[in-house]
Amino acid sequence: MELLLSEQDLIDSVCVYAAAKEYTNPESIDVDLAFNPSFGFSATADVRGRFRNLNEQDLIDAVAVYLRDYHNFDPDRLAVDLRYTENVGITASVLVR
Amino acid sequence: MKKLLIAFALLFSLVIPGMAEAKGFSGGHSSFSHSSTRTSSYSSHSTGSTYHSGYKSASSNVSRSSSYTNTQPSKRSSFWSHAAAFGAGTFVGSMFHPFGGHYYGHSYGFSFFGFLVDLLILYIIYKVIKGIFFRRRY
Repeated sequence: MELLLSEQDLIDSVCVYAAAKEYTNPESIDVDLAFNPSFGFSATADVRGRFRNLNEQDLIDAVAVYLRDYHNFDPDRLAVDLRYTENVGITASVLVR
Repeated sequence: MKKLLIAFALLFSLVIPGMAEAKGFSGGHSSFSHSSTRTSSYSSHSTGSTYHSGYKSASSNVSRSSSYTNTQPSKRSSFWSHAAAFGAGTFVGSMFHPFGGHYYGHSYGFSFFGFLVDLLILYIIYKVIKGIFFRRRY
């Protein structure tokens, strides 16, 4: 099974992931997703003025945590492919094995 | 010094329970919608192709157990339950007051009807407690 996550889904994932790390609620977090062909995907989470940088693996972990916590998926069975298209933005395809 | 200590003790007894209650009743959102501002920045490259990071699994930091527990907000105790408890306490307390029956300085002395009402209330309390603690098991 393949799940397609939109950019907003990815932002939600980072919100949930950063909230769990920072012991706060996801609503209080602002997320800036970024893609650079040299460095890949990254994100910056703004937790009430405190910034937390996430690398590509963190983003994949965020998707896994989000799907585990909100959609009851087993994170061990997920494989995440982050994608960037110029007109669509950053999306993700998740294979559920 | 002693007065200062007493003042501090009074202050703590008045302030600390209030703080604890405020923390306990903080509750929380049972459901949430992400309203985080969305600002995505991309590097400027106009190849038009899609970049793939490749399928990757989550790292070992992600455990199988959920970290998010959707705890229900604690049930807020209403004002009326406190008021009823206070009223019941006052009423039962007044029943056992040895010099009860005063009203604006006048004592009404012994009242046989009041005594019967007291007995009736004591009987009801006894039945309720018995019903709670010695419930018949089927």
